[in-house]
Amino acid sequence: MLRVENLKVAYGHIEVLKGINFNVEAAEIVALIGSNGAGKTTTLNTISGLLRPTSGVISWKGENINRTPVEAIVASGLAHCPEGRRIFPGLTVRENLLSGTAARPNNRKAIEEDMTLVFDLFPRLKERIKQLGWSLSGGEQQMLAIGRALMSRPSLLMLDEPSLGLAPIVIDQLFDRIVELNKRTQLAVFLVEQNSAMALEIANRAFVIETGTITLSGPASELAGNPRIQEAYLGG
Amino acid sequence: MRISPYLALVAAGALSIPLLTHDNYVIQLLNIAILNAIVVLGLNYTTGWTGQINFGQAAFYGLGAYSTALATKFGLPWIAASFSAILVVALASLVLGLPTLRLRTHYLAMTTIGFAEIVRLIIVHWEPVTGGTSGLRDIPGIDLLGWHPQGQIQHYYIMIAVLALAVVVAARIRHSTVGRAMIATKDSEIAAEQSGVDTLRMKLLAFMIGAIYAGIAGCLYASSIRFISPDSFSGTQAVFLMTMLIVGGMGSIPGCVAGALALTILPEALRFLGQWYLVLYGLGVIGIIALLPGGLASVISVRKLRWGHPQ
Repeated sequence: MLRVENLKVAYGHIEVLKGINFNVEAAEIVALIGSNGAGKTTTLNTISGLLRPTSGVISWKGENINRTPVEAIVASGLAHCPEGRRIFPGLTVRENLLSGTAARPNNRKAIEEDMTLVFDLFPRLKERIKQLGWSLSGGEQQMLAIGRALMSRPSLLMLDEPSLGLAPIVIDQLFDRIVELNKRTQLAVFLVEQNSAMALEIANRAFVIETGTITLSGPASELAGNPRIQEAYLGG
Repeated sequence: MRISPYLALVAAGALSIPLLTHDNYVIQLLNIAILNAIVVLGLNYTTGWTGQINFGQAAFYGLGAYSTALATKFGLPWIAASFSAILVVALASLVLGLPTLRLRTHYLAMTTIGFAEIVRLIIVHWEPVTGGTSGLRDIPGIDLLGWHPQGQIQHYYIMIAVLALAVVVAARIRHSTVGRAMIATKDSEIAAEQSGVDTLRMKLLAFMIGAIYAGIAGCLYASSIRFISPDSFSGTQAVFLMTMLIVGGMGSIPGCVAGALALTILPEALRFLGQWYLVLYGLGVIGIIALLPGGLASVISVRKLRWGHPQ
């Protein structure tokens, strides 16, 4: 569904992605793990159109989206839930969710149905429906950011560090929800995480990125058992 | 719409003011305050909701006033003149906005200051047409299909009607997809784009709607006061409008109206202090900004919190 071929991205003269290849298929959960500065967020930002590649191909549902405008990429079913959540603090929970529908046709009934789905998944959001974004806790903000991304009706959801800054128990709940979502709606998930243990637990497949190059890939369970991974990312 | 009883009270109060006073000076002051409120509501689209700093709002106000004055003096019927004035302002905002809204915050502030200065220089130096620093006199009045409002009170009701329309339109837009997209653009441009919002289009739209508000107010100013001069639309006026927005409460519709009314009426009310009024005025503005960072509008929400109804 998503195929990335020989993707290179540079900030000025500094090459951050040095030709990476990977793919994500329908209904899969794929994790991209790596340490700080390895190029994880750059990969996501390039796929969603916030950055442009210097070379290589990003192919989405068979089409090259290297130069497609950000809004058109969202409209085509590729949603990006950004690092650090970036919810809209001045809008209510409901308005935050509605702003996720900006790229789709204004069909009120379908939008309300999708909002019900988000509230089924994260009942806490429903309790806070009229509260302004800034007044939510970190975990609730993350739920809201994911909910907002879901409101664009994606077929692939890209999550950038959803566990960042959250308490372990909240992370557990959040990851349970992500799995539930994937099972229930067949939504493909591309998960970028520093919390490798959690990511490998829920993913089907995973890639390891180190300074702009993919160094390992395979089924998540296999990677979790790999001694090198255990040493570098899972704390021995 | 839980505040509708308050809204009804405010509307009733506004409509009954001319019954309480026949002092032309007071009504004229209110008319100016209402026009300022319309201009500030326009500024709120760009600065309050979309988060772009705009010091060109007074220039759009002036552009609307001068276009109306020149068109009516030329002999165009009032309705046609006001429509063409609004069109001129809309086009000017499109031409200014299209290249500059890609710029961020302080760069945009500088270009809008530059634009305001260009408009001012043209008005001052194109004397045969604009009358230069001495302004334009004997501008034809409002002509609504043969009805010529006379006196301050009739004009007052026209202004109130236009302000009410401006408020209703602003409230409808605020709670529409477009309004949410504007605030999303202010809160996080990146996240707004990732949610599928075309942020450049939103900024341009906010800028143009805001300019049109200023244009409508300028048109009413020229046709009701019937005398205009560059002073009324200067850079000082632009800063003044921004102050009204901040004191009233960025992003709040009642705040915009309250800020414009307060800061238009206050200097007149303090006039008995002579030269000292500016000191008190300045202290008052600083006091509001320091004690109520959300502006006058936050008084309402603070009271809500005390009553145990967090928003």
